[in-house]
Amino acid sequence: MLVVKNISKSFGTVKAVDKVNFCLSNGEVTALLGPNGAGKTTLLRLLSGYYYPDFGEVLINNHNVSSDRLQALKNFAYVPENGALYPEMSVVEYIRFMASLYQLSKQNFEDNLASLSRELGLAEVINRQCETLSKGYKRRVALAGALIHRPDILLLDEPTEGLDPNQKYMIRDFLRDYGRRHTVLISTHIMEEVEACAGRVLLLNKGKLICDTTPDGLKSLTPANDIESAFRSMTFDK
Amino acid sequence: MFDNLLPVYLKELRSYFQSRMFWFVFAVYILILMTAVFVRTGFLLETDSELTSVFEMQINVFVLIVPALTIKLWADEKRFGTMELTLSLPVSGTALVLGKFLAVWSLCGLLIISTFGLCLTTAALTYVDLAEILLNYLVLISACGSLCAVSMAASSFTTQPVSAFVLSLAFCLLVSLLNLTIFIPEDSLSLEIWLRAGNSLHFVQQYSQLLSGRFSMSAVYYFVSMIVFPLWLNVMSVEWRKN
Repeated sequence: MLVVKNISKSFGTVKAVDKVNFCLSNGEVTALLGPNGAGKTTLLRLLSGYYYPDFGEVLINNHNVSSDRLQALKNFAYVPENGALYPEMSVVEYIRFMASLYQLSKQNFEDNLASLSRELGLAEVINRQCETLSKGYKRRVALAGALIHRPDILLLDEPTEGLDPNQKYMIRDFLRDYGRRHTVLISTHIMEEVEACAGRVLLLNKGKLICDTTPDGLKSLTPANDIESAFRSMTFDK
Repeated sequence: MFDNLLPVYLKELRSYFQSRMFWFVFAVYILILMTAVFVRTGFLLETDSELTSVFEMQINVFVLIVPALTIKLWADEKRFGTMELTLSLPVSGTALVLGKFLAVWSLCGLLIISTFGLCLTTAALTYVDLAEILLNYLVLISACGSLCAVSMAASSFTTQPVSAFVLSLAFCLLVSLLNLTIFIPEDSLSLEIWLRAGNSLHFVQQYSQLLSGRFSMSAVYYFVSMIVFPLWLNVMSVEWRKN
C-alpha cells in the first residue's frame, strides 16, 4: 500500500507539488493525469525517493521513503520517463544487476526472467547491448528490470511515450494484467491510455490534486461525457 | 547503510572493463610511465637501479589519469540520463558513493600492480628489499585512493563530462601541489610552526615521507582524511540533489 500524506515540493518560488494526499491499494491501476508541467514527474520522483519532500511524507507498506528508504523500496519499482538504461550493459546483465539489488535467488531470477522475457517479448534481444536497442525495446527492458523482483508497487512515468501502436498495446495489456494483483501508478497525459488501463484517475494541475475519481466519474463531469473534455475543462488555463 | 554496496561495486567495475576509455587510460599510463622511467631517469642504465624514482614518478602520472577515470562515475550518469534511475534504486547514498569509489580505486590498484614487472626485472639484476617494495606499493595505492576520492567529489558537483574532467584535474593538481610553505614570510617568528603546518598539508611531502620509509601516524591520518572527507562531500552532494 502506498500512502501519500500532504506532500509538497518547491523549486525556488515554484510550487511543483502542493499538499497532495492520496492512498493506493493493491489490485488497481491508477492513472496520474495532468497537463505538461502539472507536477506529475516531480510527484513520481517524490514517491520513488529521488526527491525528498519539503513537507509531508510518503509511506510504502508503512515505511517512510525519506527516513527508511531501503525498507520502503524493497517491494517497489519505478521506471523513469526516459527509460534510461546503463548503455554498456547487455539486457541480461542489466536485469541481473536489478535482481541483485533485491537479493533474488538464482532460481527466482531465472524463473522471473523467463516469464518477463516471454511477456514483454525480449527473447531476441536478451544478449544485446542496451545502447544498441530501439526505443521500444529500451522501454520494455527498463520495465523488465523494474519487475524482476515482482514488486507490490510499480510506478511508471509516461510508459508509452514515443512507442508505436503495437508496442503501446503490448505495454498497456501487460500493465492491466499486472495491476490485477499489484498496485500500479502510471503518469500520462494521453487520455486513450487512461481508458485503456486505469480504474482510477488522479488529476493534477499546477501541483495540486484537483480530482480523484474513476474514468467514468471523470467523463460524467462534462456534458460531452468524455475524458478529454473533462480534462480540458478542468486544466485549461485561460 | 552499506546494503547493496557489492552489486554497485561490481556493476561499476564491469562497466569500466567494457569501456574503451579504461583501456585507453591503461595504455596511456603504461606509455607515460615507461617513457618517464626509461628516458628520464635512465632506469636500468645506472649501475644501481633505483625503484624509488619509479614510485615517485607514478603519483604524478596518477594525478593526470585519475580524473580521466572518475569522469565516468557521475558525468556519464548525467550524459546517459541514468541518474534518476540510479538515485531511485534501493541503495543508500553512502553505498552508492562507496561502491563507485571502490571500483575506481580497484582499477588504480590494478594499474599499479601491472608495473610489478619492473620490480621483478630490477630484482633479477640487483638486490632489492622486497618488504620495502611492498610498502611502497601500499603507500602508492593509498595515495591513489586520496586522488580518486578528491577527483570523484569534484566531478560530482558538475553536469558536463568536460567540466568534470577539468574540475577533477584542477583539484588533483591543487591537492598534489599544495604547499603552503611558499606563502610563509621568511622573517616570521613562528616559522617552524608554519613550516610544520604547511608540510602536514603537502600531499607530495607526505607521500615522499612514507615512501622513504619514515613512517608517521600524521601521514596515515592525512591520507585517511583525504579519502574520508571527499567521500563525505560526495555523499552530501548526492543527498543535496535529492533536496
